[in-house]
Amino acid sequence: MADGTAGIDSEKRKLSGYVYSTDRAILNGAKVTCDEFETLTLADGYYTFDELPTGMLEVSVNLKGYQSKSKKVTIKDNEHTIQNFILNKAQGTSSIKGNIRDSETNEPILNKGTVILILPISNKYKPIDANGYYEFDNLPAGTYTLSTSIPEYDDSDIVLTLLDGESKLHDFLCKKNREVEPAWG
Amino acid sequence: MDRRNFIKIAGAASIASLALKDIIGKSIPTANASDLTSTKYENYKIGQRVPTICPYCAGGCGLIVTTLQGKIIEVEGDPNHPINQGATCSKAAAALQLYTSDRRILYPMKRTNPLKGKDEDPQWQQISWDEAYSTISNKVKDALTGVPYKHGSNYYYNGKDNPISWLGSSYWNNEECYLARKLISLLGSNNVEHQARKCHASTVAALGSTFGFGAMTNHVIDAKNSKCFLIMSNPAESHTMEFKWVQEAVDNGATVIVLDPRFTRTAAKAHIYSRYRSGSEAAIFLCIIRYVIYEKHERLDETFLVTRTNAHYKTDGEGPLADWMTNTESIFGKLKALVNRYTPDEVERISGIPKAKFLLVADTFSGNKPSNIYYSMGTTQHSNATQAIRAHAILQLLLGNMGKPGGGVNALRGISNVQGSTDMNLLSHLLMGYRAPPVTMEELKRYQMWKNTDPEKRGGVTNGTTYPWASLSEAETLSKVIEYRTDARLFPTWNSLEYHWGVYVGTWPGIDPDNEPVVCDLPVVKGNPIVQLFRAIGDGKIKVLLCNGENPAVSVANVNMVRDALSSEHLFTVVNEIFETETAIYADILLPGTVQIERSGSITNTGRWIQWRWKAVEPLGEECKPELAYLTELYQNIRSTLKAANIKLPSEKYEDENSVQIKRTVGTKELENNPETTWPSSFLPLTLGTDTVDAEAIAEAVYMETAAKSIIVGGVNLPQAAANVLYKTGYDPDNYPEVGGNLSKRRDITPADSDDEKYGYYKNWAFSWMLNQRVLYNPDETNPGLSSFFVWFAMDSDTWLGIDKAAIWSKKLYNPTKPITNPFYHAMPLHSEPVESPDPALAAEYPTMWDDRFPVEKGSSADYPYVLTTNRLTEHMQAGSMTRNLPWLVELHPEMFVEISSELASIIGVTDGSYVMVKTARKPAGIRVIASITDRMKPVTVNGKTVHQAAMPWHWGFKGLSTGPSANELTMDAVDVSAQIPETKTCLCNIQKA
Repeated sequence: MADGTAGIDSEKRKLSGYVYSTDRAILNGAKVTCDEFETLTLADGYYTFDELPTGMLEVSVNLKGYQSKSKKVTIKDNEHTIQNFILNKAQGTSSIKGNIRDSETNEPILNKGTVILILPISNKYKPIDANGYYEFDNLPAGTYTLSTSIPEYDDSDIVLTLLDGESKLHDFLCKKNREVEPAWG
Repeated sequence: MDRRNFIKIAGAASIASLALKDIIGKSIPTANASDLTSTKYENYKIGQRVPTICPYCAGGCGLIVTTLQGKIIEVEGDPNHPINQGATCSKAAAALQLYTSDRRILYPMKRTNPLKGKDEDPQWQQISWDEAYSTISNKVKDALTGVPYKHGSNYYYNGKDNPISWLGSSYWNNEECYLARKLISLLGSNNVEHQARKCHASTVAALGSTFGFGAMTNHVIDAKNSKCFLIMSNPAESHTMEFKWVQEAVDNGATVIVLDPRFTRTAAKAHIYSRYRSGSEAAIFLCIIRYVIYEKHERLDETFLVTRTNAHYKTDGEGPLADWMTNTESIFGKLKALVNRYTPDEVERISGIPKAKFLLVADTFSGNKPSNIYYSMGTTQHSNATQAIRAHAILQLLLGNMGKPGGGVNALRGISNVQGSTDMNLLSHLLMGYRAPPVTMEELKRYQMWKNTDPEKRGGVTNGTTYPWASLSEAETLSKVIEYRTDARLFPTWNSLEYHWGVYVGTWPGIDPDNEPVVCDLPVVKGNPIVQLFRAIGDGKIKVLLCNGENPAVSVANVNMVRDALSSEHLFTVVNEIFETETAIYADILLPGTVQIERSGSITNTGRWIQWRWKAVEPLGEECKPELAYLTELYQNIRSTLKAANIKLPSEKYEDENSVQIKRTVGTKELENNPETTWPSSFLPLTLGTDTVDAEAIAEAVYMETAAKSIIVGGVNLPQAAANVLYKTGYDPDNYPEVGGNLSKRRDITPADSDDEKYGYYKNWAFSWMLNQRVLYNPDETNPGLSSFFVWFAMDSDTWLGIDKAAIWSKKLYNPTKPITNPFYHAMPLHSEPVESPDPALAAEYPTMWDDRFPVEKGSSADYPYVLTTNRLTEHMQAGSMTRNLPWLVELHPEMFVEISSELASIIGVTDGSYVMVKTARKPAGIRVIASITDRMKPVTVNGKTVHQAAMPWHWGFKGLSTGPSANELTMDAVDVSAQIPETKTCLCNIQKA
């Protein structure tokens, strides 16, 4: 996976490459922009542009949860330019934390279930601890969806926006699920 | 067969008898290589005959494939098969095209268009299987990165949180379904679903909680023993060969009653027909129950009720009551009071069935025993479907029609192996053989004690805390009957899976389970059922979808939501298919599967017959990979990638972090917690890169794993040898050496005894669960297997009644915190209106059971005044993935349409053949389809008002030879809250001139 110019081929003014993370995760669905063009990476992390304008262009990659990256590439007639990207996981100073409680009793739900922070490639998971507490830290600023997954309770979702350095408290009040489901067979 | 003959056969009422006399089992080829150049007839005469089972509906019809030099010469009905006796429906008659189609997917491909959507061309690019496995394995690894395996001090994966999901397939063989459940479980996920959720989930929930098992109680041929049928289905079109046995009963004097919103081909054969409003099925059956109790008391089978139901007890278990018939506190008394409101007048008001017609139906059905209920999607796909089917079951118990030839509650299941795929539990809430996965740490600790109680057999420790209620009497003493009964069902299966899956389940070291960490390699907690699964995909909780032989982009209610979820830019989707389906359009990787005659394995028909289908030819393309080979290699590759990334089983993580080695011992044999030692089968472990992957050998080995009668391990006979308790004794080499021990291969039509000959059990043909019983709960059957009901009507420790009392009142469906208008309040069925009711007054009077547990788009009768229901056609199969790619079938039914009455057509102002827009709250813009104006549809009078109904086939989608809008763009995705099956069969719509 070397960067550079692959040489002359039949595809004119082409730019392509792969996008991975530093821990070798394949970053599919990353937004790649070049000039006024935009595409997404495929399941194997590959992206491609055809028939770009010639000259020096900036190509950049954005994916939530990862640090964006830009590089300059030179696009020439009858050349296929390859530009790969390896993105670092985004780190920040913001955090979300809180308690998980039963909505009827207001009692903490202890040591049971998970809080999931939705991200594009790998979600983050926090098992609810012995105090009914969860915390996600070192998050960059942004908007996040969190969801609870607790046996015998309905899922509960929240969308939160964090500023740089902000620490937000969100307590989940979870409803006991209402299922009356017999075992089958 | 050529096109002309096909059309002729298909047009002849879909039932054709092909005159073949001399085929018994597999014949020996007599041809030379040069023979293939002769005429087709000459090739046919000298070709090899290989028996197989039809890939379409669940009737289990036999087909004969004739091949010569690896080429298929003909596919036709098997004249020796007891179910179809050589006849086929039009789909099977066109099966040749399925196998030889030039539209088949022939090699693995990846999409190169990053945009996903209905109108996006994937721009497929051919890749190798190695590249496909590599990409899949890496995406699974990425998704599983960070998934917690440690919860407090306990080590396990939460099966619902897991971002890997699996769909399908009822078109796969049992061994493939089993191995798929094994694979997804070994990844720690219970996010696994398939077609069964959408067709008969409510059947399984209703019959399981009433009788013990959720399957068709009798079997296909048994219809000939019935004196009367109440058919809430259209088997003449959707289960054609099964209907042949209904016709045989008619020839012997039986009466057929058909209730259906449409006048169907089945209705055309009925002695009594009435249309009704879709969604009122429970009310209809409650009214028949009322009729029997109040008007025809003498038709109640009192002996049966006393010996085989809980009718004569109180709901708290007190009893038996001598005065149960008149005691208002008895379960029978409560039922009697509950159904009293469902008078013929009231049911006319709810359903639209005229009172006089209803009384004729009720009198005929209850007065001609044994009588038989046939039903399918028209009953099962409602928000109160479990309750409606419970009413079917209760009626049959009252009449004593259960456990007898000719009686029963007979669910007509839809796909060739949907019974088997359900048994193998490709479902989010079950693990194997209808045994649930672990849910709580407490039960896992009890499981360890259970193992410790008999350490030699169970592989536990030798001196640890043992199971505190090792017998029923001990459990009764300790008031732990519920736990005892639950444990007795679950633990042997978990124990069997520990052995067959190479995993560890329990606590470690196991000496003091109450104070030790749980270490469990089985996924804990049930996963997401189908609608919630796609909501979880859309929400980003699920990252990988492995979809196999299933087409959710057409088949799931409110398919708009499904297609949006499949378009999620961060979802990685793999589709394994034979044709490029609507779902495949959204795939990142598309893999070439094989058709059923290109591989071997067993399938289970709607009547629980487990039949083997033999491989007849090699896969069409060199890259088309038999599903068992795909599954084997897929997991081998994933496991290798995960291990390299240090993503392992919880027990392996425990070992790493605590510097111990977890072992368990059975007899003299030490077992590893390493699924590589049992993959793909404990009988045939294969090493990646070393061993040859032979799908045929794997099929045999996995069959043995699921069905073994006994297994000796370390000198000890395992307590439950079969991984699937329902299939146990299906592999018995000691007693059935002539078929290598594989009873599903038996093809002997000789009656086992005089009863077999009289009733048509065919007990020497194949095998049926459980223990080869053909009519479930039949105490008079030779070698009856399950002769009695074994439900627990009340699970409180002081109300245990034993194992043979069917549940008229079912504690499993009891929740007294619900409103009095809700069936759960009574633990007995009531009528509840659909989520979208055409009559607000009825909706207020009989509130829907839907509890808004997730948001759905609902329309009002003011905006959407007509009732929309869906149906199937003979010529097409389910979501059309196969049949809409076959020219002969497409020619017979080329285009999507909606059936409406002439009365409704007049209101709308359209003529037959013109286009209309059909709109619902899920798709306010509507879909454009041809209007078929027909007398098959007529309005009904509901609560004094005229209600118009429209019907649409649900086979169409945007890919294939024949394309069209999907009915499921319109249907309702609210679900039955007991079974999670969507209310596909009833919603409100508007229809306007296009």
